[in-house]
Amino acid sequence: MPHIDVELERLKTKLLEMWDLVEYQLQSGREAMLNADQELAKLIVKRDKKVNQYDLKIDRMCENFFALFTPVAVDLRMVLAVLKINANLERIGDTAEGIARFVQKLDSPVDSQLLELTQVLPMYEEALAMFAECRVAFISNDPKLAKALIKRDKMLNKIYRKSDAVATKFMQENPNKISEALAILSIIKKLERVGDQVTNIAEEIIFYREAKFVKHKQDKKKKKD
Amino acid sequence: MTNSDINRLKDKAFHIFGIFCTFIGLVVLAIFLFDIVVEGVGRINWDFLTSLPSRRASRAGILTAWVGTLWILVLTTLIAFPLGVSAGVYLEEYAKKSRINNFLEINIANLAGVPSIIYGLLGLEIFVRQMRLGGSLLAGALTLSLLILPIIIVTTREAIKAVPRSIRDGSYALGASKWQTVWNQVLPASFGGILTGIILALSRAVGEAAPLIVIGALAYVPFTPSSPLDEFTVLPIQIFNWTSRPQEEFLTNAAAAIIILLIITFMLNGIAVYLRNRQQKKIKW
Amino acid sequence: MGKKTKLEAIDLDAYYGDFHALKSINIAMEEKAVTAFIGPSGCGKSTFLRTFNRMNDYIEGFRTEGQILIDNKDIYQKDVRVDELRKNVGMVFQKPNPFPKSIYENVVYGLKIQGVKKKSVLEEAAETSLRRAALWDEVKDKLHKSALALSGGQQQRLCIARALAISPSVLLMDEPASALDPISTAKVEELIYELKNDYTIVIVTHNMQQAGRVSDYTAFFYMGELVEFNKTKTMFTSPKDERTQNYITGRFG
Repeated sequence: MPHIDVELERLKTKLLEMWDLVEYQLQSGREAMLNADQELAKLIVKRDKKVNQYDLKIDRMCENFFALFTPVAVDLRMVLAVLKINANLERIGDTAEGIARFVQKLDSPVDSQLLELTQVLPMYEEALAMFAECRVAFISNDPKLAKALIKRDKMLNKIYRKSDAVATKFMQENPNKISEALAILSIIKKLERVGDQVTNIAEEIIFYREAKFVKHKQDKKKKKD
Repeated sequence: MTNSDINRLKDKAFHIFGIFCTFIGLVVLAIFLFDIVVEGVGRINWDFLTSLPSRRASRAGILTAWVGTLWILVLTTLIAFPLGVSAGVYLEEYAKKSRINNFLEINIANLAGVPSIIYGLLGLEIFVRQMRLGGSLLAGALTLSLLILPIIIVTTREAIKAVPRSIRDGSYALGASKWQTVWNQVLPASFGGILTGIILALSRAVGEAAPLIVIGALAYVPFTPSSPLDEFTVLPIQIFNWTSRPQEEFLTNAAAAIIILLIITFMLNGIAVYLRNRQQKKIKW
Repeated sequence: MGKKTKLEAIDLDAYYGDFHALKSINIAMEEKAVTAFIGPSGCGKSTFLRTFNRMNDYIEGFRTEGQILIDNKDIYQKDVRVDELRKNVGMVFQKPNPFPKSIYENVVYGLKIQGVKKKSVLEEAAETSLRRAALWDEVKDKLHKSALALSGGQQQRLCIARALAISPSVLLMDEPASALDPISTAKVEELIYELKNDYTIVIVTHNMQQAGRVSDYTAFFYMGELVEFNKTKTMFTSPKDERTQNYITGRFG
């Protein structure tokens, strides 16, 4: 295998390791939220440092790659994509950490009615599924899969948009559980961000494979109308 | 007439003048050749080539002369080739820039311009008298070798110089010594050029009469030489001899011998040109 | 670094007559790594490269002061035999310079001048070296055809095979790809990347990207001085000396 491909492969492998770690963080966040598991939440916060280390490491690797190999065309887009995906993964990692911090504020498992009403669990499931799917799209260099992901983000947005009203209503009915509801509301906000970040990653995958910008397409369409 | 018209006219004028100059030599040569061929070609036959010289023009042949020329050619090659090539290799590859070497180089260049009769006198003193070789083939070959050595040295050096530095570097870098590099790389690569130079030098030697006359080569030798120490004659001397006879028939003989001599030199030159072309085609640096 | 030092210069000065070509160079190069020498023309990098197999010996007026060590042995000592030295230190030149002989003769030349005559040994060495130089498949059917009929890139790989045939441990390369087209250049670079597993390689290059792609360490020379020597990564992302920075970013002078 040519030298440049060996280095690209190393870069990809590193990114996938980080991906796995972040996915694990997100899953642990869900676990911690359901069980109000303080220990686990603490662990997640601690592990985020590791995610940050990956972020730095991959940044450095990309810098070296640019300096040593002066990549062009598909190689260039690949490294650019890795660089941006890395940033997004780091943010998702931060999100998991953020969720863990909210979990730390809970003193008992979340009210099942609240979970039911806000649909936070299906939302979490969907975010996790999208994240996993995105990883598949990256490994298999599949822009179609990536495009499908962008559409799936709408469901998260829907739940998010309703969440304010639902939470307000719940808080009015259960004034003793306001802090709990606020925490869930924040988690929902975080999950919405995860959806956006997965979308960003998917766009990077499309850019890397097809050299097409997908992001901000809506803006252009609006201008035409 | 404008300035550029005048310039164009000058250009044209020189063009025509140039053609004239180029042709003048060729035309004279052509007339000369034509004259010789007309006179001599009828005389060339098998007997002419295989007969010994004779006082009677119609029976005289050039057997001893061309056999002598052949002997001289071979002997001169055997003597001049190793000497000249070795000297050329030394000067080009081994000699450091020193005063002695500078002196040698200048003198070799000068020697190439020394008139051939002077070489003859030198040969007479050294080979014929001091070394007591007499008017033998060996003395003649040695004298002619001296004559063409400078030419061989100079052409050898040119041919060696044309071998690029990179070939030598490649050889040295693999651990080869100077001798191994010269023997395995430089000489094979320059061999075509060296050979061309030697053949051209020989074709000059073949035509020389003066130095051989001085050392005592005879026009009348009634036998073909069988060893390097035998007396001999060569074509140019035979021709010289015949042209100084009063009888008309001997002039015809001379013309015929000239044709043979020319054929030999043209052949040598032809081989040289062929080798040079082949070399150029084979090796592109 | 940690690894073994293979090539070393200690306070090395070199002169061409009155010209001071190298000024007290100190450097230690790691075994089985690729070190690139970069710098503007006339900075002394080629001169320095050639001190490691003493190719400068043939230049009149050239002399050195200081030490050049290979495996901790000073190669400018009187008891060092240059032909032995060059068996250990192979060299590849800027312009492909195959001998005007057959491909086979080119590869076995080094062995032949060492006196190896056995045909089986020579043939095996030829095949091994050509394979190592990634040329075997392209030339195996025409080993006895002229090497000059090969393309420039193939010729250069032949020259590498020729150098490998005498099994050196060090390979010096003087701008080995500067006369080649991009595809051939890529092939030669791949080869260097492969070869560094077994050889200590020093490469002089004018091509900054090439230095980045193939080398582990980079040395920047300027006006006969070694300005900076560091890991290539470090050199190309954060050089310490401003002159290095200016040179590698193309802002020189």
